[in-house]
Amino acid sequence: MRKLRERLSRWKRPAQIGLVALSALALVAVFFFLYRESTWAKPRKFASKREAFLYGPTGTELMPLSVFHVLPEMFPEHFQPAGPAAGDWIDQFGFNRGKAGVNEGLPIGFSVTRFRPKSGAPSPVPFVGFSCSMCHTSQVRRPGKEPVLVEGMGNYSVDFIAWVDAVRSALLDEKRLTPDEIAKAYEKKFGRELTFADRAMIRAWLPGTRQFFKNNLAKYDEPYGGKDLRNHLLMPNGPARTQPFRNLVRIVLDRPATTGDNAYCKVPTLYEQGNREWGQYDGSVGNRLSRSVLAAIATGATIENLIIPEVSEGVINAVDYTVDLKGPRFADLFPEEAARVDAQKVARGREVYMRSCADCHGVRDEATGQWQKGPRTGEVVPIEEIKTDPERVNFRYSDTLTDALYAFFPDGHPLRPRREDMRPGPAGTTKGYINAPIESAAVRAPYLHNGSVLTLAELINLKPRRATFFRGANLYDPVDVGLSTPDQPEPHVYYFFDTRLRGNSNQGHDYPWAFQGPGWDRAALEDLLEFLKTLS
Amino acid sequence: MDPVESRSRITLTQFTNTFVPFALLLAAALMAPELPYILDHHRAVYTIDALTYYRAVYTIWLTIAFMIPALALYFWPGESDRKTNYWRLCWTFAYLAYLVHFYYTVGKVFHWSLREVYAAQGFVIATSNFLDTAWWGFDLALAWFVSSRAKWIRVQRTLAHLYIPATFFVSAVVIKHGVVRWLGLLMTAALVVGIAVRLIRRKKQRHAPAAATAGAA
Repeated sequence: MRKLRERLSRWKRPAQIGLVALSALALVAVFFFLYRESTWAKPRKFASKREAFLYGPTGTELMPLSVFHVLPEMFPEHFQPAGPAAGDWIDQFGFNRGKAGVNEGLPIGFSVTRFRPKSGAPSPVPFVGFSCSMCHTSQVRRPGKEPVLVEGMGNYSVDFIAWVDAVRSALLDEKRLTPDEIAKAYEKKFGRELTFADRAMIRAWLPGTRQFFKNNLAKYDEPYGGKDLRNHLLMPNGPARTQPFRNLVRIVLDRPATTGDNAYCKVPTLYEQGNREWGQYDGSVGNRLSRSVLAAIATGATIENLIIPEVSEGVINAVDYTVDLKGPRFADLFPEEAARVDAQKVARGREVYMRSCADCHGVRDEATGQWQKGPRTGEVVPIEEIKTDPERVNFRYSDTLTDALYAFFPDGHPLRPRREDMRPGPAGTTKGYINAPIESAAVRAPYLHNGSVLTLAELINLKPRRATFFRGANLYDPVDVGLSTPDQPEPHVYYFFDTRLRGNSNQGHDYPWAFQGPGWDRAALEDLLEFLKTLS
Repeated sequence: MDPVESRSRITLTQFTNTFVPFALLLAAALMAPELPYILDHHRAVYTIDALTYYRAVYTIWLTIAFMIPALALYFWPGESDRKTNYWRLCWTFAYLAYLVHFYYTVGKVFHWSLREVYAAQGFVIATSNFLDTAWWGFDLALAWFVSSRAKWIRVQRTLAHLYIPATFFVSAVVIKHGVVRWLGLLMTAALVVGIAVRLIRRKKQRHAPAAATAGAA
């Protein structure tokens, strides 16, 4: 016993020194880690507000860049639902292809940051999220010509909701999406192994993200995948449309929002936002920054990562970019058609416009170049009066959501909306659609808040509105001004839009006259269409 | 109080018994926020990023955890070198943890801006926190580098051991809830028990000579 005690006491001192040394080493290692961590997310200064709009973060980091690169190859059935011959996922979901060497070569609208999802904690490897330009920059596809990229225009091709379901389907596939399989796919695609940091981050990210999606299945339901992503009965949004408050109901009110919400809205165009006091189609949000913040939250940003200065500044800069952003002129996009515009018809059409449209929408003051508001611009027209699809203003929880949204942000949050900037609330209620300026009217297709009218000719009731059509990467129609549709679905114009379905109505807004109704004047409407082409 | 007087060397055992848990717990306090489980479940209450928030929280837990033995030892009666050394080590490591907490709050949250600190915390709490930091550091400097038995040192130390826990009591027990409140209660209990035992022992010692004298008579 004594020998044992002596032996132990002989080892006691070295053991203590070893313990102290190891503990000190652990502490040094931790401080070294903290130092390195502080260098991971160096603020990325954007050269301009435009760059922030195109590539800036919105707090919506989704997955590591390395995973983003290989996910479509790992799940072709989800990311190429029309088959490989119809092009890659960028083509099939209507994203705008980026340039090699710019922003990691990603399509326009994806941001690359060193922030982790949800918390915004720094990451040693890049993560991919969304920028404002994903939904608010569009290609105008012209017949027989190269497409033109228009910043600020609502992306009329992007099938974002379907793409998110494709991503969710892939992430929930526990057998095929594992860190090892990701590593194999990456090596196969790039001919090199993932870095240690990539592997570590994928192992940390994947279980948490997958668990998040699994935990939320009760609210978000099982995602669709494969060919179902193009089925209009299963995916009722279709290209260029979202249900803007559905995710907010899920996130803020913790409700599934699977029933009572058919509030489909097209992704809006963001020209000259300085002309708008209240936004959203129903005029429910009064501050342009708050509108963008709520859009970011609905797309996956959290109040936690919106605290990160780079993220909040990115959002603020992107919003600032749209304050004076001018839309293109008709002549910029369609010079030949613009050359054929009849000046006399335009002059007559202007008179029709001033009589029938300017009170609500205003008009460009040719002397100052500023948009001149009409007496009713900014007014919310009751649904009974305008008679367009009512789902957007009658969706379930529309009365309770704003209070909950306000309470959702902690005091002092840099992007917390002011209560008086949200309706219903102290500033009144909105049970209708707001009269908004229509700068660059020709580049706002499809028309009405739910995108149910393809062309200006149909919107002004010069031509009958089509009950059904196909949507996707439609060609732009410079004659009727808007989107043209094929008679049968095509690989890139695939989505069957049925205006008879709930939330899709193309009725209402019968100005100047209902089609072939009392006072209907074909010649005046042709003049009006000619003027609208020039209204920039 | 007695611990002031001891200037005996700290043994390796004493250092190991305090430094090892301190180092490992501090490492854990700084690294635990990296765990996806914690990050993914973070819900912003304040406008602080998640890592800073949890590092500030966990380091104040560690501070109080080391204050508990330090306060108990300080007020506990007795004059052994062992007791005094453990007090000094615990009091020091508590302060080091507090400095890390101070870095995350004043440095990371308030960007080293007095204006921001006072705007967020108000005059009383902000001043009290700065006083804690300065006084505690001053007391430790005396404890490590001054061997004087001067009365003012003993008085300021006792006052520091009452004032600093009092401010922690307010911020941990009165204002906050959850783990930090329980730690604050434990700290308070350690302090109260230490003082109570000291007073009882002193009372007994005062009576003991008188009783012995009476017995002899």
